[in-house]
Amino acid sequence: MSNNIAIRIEKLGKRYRYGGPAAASYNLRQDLTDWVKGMFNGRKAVVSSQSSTLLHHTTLHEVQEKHLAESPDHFWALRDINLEIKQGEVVGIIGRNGAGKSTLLKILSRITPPTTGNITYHGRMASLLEVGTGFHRELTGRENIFLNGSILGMKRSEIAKKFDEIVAFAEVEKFIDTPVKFYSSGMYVRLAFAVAAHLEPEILVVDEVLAVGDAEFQKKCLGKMDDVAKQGRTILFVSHHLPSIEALTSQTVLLQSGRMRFYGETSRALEVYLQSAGKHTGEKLSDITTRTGAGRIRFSSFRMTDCDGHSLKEALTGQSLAIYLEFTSATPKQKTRARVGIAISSALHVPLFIASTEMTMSFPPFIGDGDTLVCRIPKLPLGGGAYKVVLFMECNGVVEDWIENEIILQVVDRDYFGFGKNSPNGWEGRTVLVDHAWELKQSSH
Amino acid sequence: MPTPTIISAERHERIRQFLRDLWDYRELFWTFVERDVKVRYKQTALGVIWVVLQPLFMMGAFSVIFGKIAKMPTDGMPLPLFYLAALVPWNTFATALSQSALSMESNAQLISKVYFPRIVVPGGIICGSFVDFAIGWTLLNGMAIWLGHWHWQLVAMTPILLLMQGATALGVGLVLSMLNAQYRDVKHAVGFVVQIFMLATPVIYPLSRLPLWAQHWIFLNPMAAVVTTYRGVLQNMPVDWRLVGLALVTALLYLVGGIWFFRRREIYLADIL
Repeated sequence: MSNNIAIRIEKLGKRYRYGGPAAASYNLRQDLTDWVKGMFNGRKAVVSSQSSTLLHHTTLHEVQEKHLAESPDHFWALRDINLEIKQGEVVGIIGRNGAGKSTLLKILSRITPPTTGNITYHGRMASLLEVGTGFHRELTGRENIFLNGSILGMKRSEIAKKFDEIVAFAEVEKFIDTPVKFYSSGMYVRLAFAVAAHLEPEILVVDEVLAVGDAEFQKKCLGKMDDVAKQGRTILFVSHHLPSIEALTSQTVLLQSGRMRFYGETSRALEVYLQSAGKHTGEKLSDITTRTGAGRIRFSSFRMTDCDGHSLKEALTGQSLAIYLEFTSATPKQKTRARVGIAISSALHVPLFIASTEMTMSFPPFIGDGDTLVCRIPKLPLGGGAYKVVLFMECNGVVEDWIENEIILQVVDRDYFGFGKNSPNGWEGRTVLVDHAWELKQSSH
Repeated sequence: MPTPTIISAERHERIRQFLRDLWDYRELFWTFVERDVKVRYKQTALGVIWVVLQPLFMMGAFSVIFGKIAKMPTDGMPLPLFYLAALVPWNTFATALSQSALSMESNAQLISKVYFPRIVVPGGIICGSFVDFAIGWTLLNGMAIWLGHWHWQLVAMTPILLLMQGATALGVGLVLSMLNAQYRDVKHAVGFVVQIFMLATPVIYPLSRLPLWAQHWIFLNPMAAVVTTYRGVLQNMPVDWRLVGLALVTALLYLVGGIWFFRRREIYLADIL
């Protein structure tokens, strides 16, 4: 094994049972009757399907291959993961909900064992699946620092050495001898994160802990993590928050339905991630009943692609985006001169911008049944969040179709301006992003 | 380069790895003990005085009900001393046992988020109960001196009896805690199990009231030996070494069995909790 590999994962798999692990085993009576029945049937293992949780030790090696084959009762949360992570690398882990991110972290943190394969790592590993694990409400801030630090694997002498630094980082000096139940939620989270941020393991595994706390504090934490990475420690970082993945990691693992879809440079991983979002062939609009207009011609579908034509379910901030609108008409052969528009509003129904053929097409389109109108937006000026899409169409002064409250545009946040922040705190998803630049002209006294 | 850590589906932790892990997490163990002891008396007006009051009240109630009204024999011991000698070890044992039986469930949040040898939690609870025991034991000594029944063997026998008490509580507690993680039925049964356990232990009656065959096998309940021995030394009677020896072996077997049962299942805890 080469010396600069920090973590090696081979053929890792984890299988769970549908309806929760060993669902039947929650019921003592059921287990007892199964067991008694099993004795009378002369079969040792009526409970064999549950044995994967409780009696796992007996189901190894030769039984394994057969036993672990596809079974309708089970599913693989993770399968065939092979990874080598170099020492000092900061690796992001992304994927949709249910892709296996949390399972991978739990196996790495030794909270749950793998079903197949193995992981080899060097040095001390600390995992941070949650901030403030083990905090006790009745205990003071001081006592909780020691409690939480020990739980996360720090030595007491180490905690004592860093105590003042932790307290200062959390900005809770005055309340350090107050029970944490009297803390505001902000103070609580800051204290919890401060302890975690002062861990110094060789390998740090971090789950979405940055989803807590105010933006200012999040930034401080990201900065702290960056420092840790610069000291040559290996970090695994799971997040839904793509801007922080982009800012912190060099390599990223993309998980999809329990398998590794991609492992490599972060920017490339994010592209693959967003393309993989689009298994979807387009949103059908024909079922929508809450629409107004004469209805002789109507929108039949709304879908998005990136600049290479890959379908998207979600758009990405700053992405080159194409919106495809398809039409149906009761009179198939007839084409009508139309005015078609797309209006985007914030989640709070504040209009943000309108794209309409009226302004940006040199002549009004003649539209008929089955036609598609494409609207291209070269650099999507929206930060992360959900937006409302309104579609409208008018022919010869008569509104034909108007869909107001049905279509949601999901945008995944990504750095738009190149400075790491898309909007002032509290303004996320409420503004349009417009390219601009600042310059300071200093007076020359 | 230090030896790598291997997480594997095929290889399970050997006993050496288990012991190394326990050693690595010894500080966490003490932290848990400290937490349990601190939390117990936070925001109680009387604080640690409860540890003294509780056995005193029970001693008073038992003396009146079982001693005066039911006229239970005490083998010639003063009533308060007879009951206090049993209540001090029994109460700390019962509390430690029921707390450790529920410990996997009550620490589920922790267990599903961080790795540590899970045995640290019930182990910490048992150790924490020794703090209460020390206070009760001081009270017992005071009472014995006051009533003129004190004997140096009370001090000499305490370590071995405490070991029996702790080993039994941990051994049984480990099994119950793991069963409770899987079947929440256990939670409802724990209070009742502890009560039965008390009736099977000579707390309200002297050992001599049991039929001979039962006295012969009573070492299977190490707590019976603990209680009887405390009473015996306070009456200046020779220690029944057969009973103490067999009960000690039994207690250690319970402990080993409990650890074995617990270890087989602990890695799946996060999946079943």
